[in-house]
Amino acid sequence: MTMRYDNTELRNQLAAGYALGTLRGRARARFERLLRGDVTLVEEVTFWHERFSEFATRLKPVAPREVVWTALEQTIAATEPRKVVELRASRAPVAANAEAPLSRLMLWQVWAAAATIAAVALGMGLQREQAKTDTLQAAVAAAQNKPMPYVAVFQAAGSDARWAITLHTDKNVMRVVLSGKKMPADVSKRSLELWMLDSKGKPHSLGLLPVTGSKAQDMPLPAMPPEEMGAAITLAVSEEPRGGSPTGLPTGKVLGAVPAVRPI
Amino acid sequence: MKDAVRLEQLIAATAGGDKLAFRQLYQETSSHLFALLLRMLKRRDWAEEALQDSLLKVWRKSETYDPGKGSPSTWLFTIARHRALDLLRQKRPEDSLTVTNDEDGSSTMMDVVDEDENPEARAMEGEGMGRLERCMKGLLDAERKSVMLAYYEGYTHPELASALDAPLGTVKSWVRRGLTKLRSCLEAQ
Repeated sequence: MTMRYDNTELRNQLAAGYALGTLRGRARARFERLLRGDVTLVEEVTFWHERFSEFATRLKPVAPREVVWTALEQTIAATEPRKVVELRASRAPVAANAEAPLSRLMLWQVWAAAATIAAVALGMGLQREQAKTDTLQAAVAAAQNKPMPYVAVFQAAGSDARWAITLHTDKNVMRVVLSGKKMPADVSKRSLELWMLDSKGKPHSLGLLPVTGSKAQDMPLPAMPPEEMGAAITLAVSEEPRGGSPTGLPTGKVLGAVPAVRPI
Repeated sequence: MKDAVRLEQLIAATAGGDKLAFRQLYQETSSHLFALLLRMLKRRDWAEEALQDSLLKVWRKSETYDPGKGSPSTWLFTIARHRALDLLRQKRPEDSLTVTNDEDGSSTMMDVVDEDENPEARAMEGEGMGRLERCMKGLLDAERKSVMLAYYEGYTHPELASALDAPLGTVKSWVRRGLTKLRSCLEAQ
């Protein structure tokens, strides 16, 4: 079918239908081709876009979840190094684990990668700091061949509960100090499970976070893969059924991820 | 959204590869774009996907934005809306269309017009603000519903016919006449 595009009224109708979205399928594609070389038609479409955007501005703003930005940032970093000027992950997570559902894994990988970027940045900052203030302690620890513990502070968005977490991998002990009251989940029904994400983005459970008490609480720390124990590791917290994940992998909402670093 | 000059600056800086400016642009516009996407796509996961795709396009195509050819907020909304229409086409094939009773035009109108909710956005829009709204009042009820459902729901002509329970030809002429009236009213303003 051929269509006459020299009739002004028809052209205006098509432009309006294009901007509104009622022009679809092949007619839409044909119109788009026509737009490329036709300044007046472009102006007509712009006129409608400008006017119709008033519909959009009448909507009450809704904040998207932070994960959208994180995923966006990841995609940009992965696909377009040309524009990325910031520090990039040195250990970006790679292949997916076939056991876990894909969407869950992708989300974990986003968190893991984001935390890795933060970990690298924080690790470098910490090293500089250590070099200035803490050299002696580090030197003594190294001399005694005692690895320094990993340290992290976890706080989920929208809550004031903070967990200061210290992982003594040499003693298989984890020390947690809780502060704040407002929990990121209904802890009468749900547990908060702590995970370590390895370099492939695979989570390893470290146990459940305490939800009461303000004193330091020591808990057993499972053995972690030694090859993963570099200067910085990634911790994450998920919301799970009471008592923890029934599957050994995160099943509930991911509340966030943080880097845990240790002085080298 | 913030004022046009500020957005233009952020888009220009983004075009130069300034990631911080892009982050600012995201912070200042994402909740407005997300509101539109959520309105059109209904599902949060789809709206998030569309938001991510749209902003990725903004990042990649920011150098093509020309302030002489329209306001920055229109440019952003148009990118988001086109992405939503694409997604709807993929995910809501016409043969599986189901329109529930609460999707009639009047409730949609009630939902979307937040007269008091967003005075800031109204003030920011400046000169053009309210023109469309005034001109929409000059449309017949059926014409107005057709235009609003097409905009906010991304409905095609057959979907409109189903939603408004009217023959396809009738709906097409409602849309056509509605747009013609809008055009002459907007031009006269």
